[in-house]
Amino acid sequence: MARLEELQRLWQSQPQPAIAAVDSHGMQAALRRFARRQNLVYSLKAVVVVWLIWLCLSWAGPSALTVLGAAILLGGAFTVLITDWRSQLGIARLDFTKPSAGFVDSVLERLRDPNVLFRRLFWPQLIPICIGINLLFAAHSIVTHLGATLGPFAGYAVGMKLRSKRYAAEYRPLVERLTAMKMALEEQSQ
Amino acid sequence: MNHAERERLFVELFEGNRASLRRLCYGYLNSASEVDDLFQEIMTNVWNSLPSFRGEAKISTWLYRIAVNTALIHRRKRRASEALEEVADQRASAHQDLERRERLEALHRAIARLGDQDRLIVSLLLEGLSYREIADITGITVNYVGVKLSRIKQTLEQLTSEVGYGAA
Repeated sequence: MARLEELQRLWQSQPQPAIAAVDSHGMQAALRRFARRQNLVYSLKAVVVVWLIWLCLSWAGPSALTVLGAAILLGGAFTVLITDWRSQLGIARLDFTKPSAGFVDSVLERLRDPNVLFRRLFWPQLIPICIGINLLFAAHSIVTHLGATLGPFAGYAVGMKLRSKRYAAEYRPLVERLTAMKMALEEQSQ
Repeated sequence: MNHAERERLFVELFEGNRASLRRLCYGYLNSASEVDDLFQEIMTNVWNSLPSFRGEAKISTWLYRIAVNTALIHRRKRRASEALEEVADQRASAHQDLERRERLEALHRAIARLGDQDRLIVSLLLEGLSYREIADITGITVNYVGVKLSRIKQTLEQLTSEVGYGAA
């Protein structure tokens, strides 16, 4: 085999292809645009939530009870929104500055159960939403109350199923690759 | 770290390390079209991690950790076998003498046949990093880096002779 120094020289002297449209300032601008877009998306979601609750409140007719219901519902909806935002940032929040062995462990832990945050917050999220909707529609029929109570649970179940499906499709190959790497490291270090 | 300091450090890291980081990306992916994606992902993670940089590790070690970790979780769009053609094309466009180009292609082909982590480790070695630095980046012991590199060198020896390293 060629000597290591020779390979190193060859490797380090390889031509650099033109870095098309990538420069540090362009990249910084792109990062700032990305951050602004993320903020905009979540701001729009928040506006839509407030608007829907406002519509419900107008429809139900403002009273002390319905306003209290709307406020509780708003709190619950924002808890879900913030949890979703934190969960979306899950991968981005990984500590890339860790040594790889520890990094692989933390990625696997996060990817194996992406819904852990939602499950942990199941009751704190759903109870205010159920109470809020029921108070908001206090004067309505029992069927409305039944729907108001079961609706959030059904929405939660469907949401979790869709998220799990999407995660499985997107991250399974990565989880398999990292698991194999981790096992190889453990076996060889024994 | 204030914003101006963060921007200054980012530009310094970008300008000073883009060549070595792009070689690392090539060593890992063997696909010209994906190198830009991975390189941008690495620099995004560098930017996001800068506020937490405390100077406990050497900045190059810190940077390579981010690069290696980003590469490990990078989702590849193509298979390595499809991508090899692109490396050849990329090299062919460079003004180099034929022999040197063929040796470089052979080395790339040999590296492409290694496992994920081994490709990154051998790229770090070819960048001239010491065993100690590679151990700090990967989180495995120096002894184990030695064992691993010895195996990788043997595999490379076999592969480079199979693909005709230096045959020209």
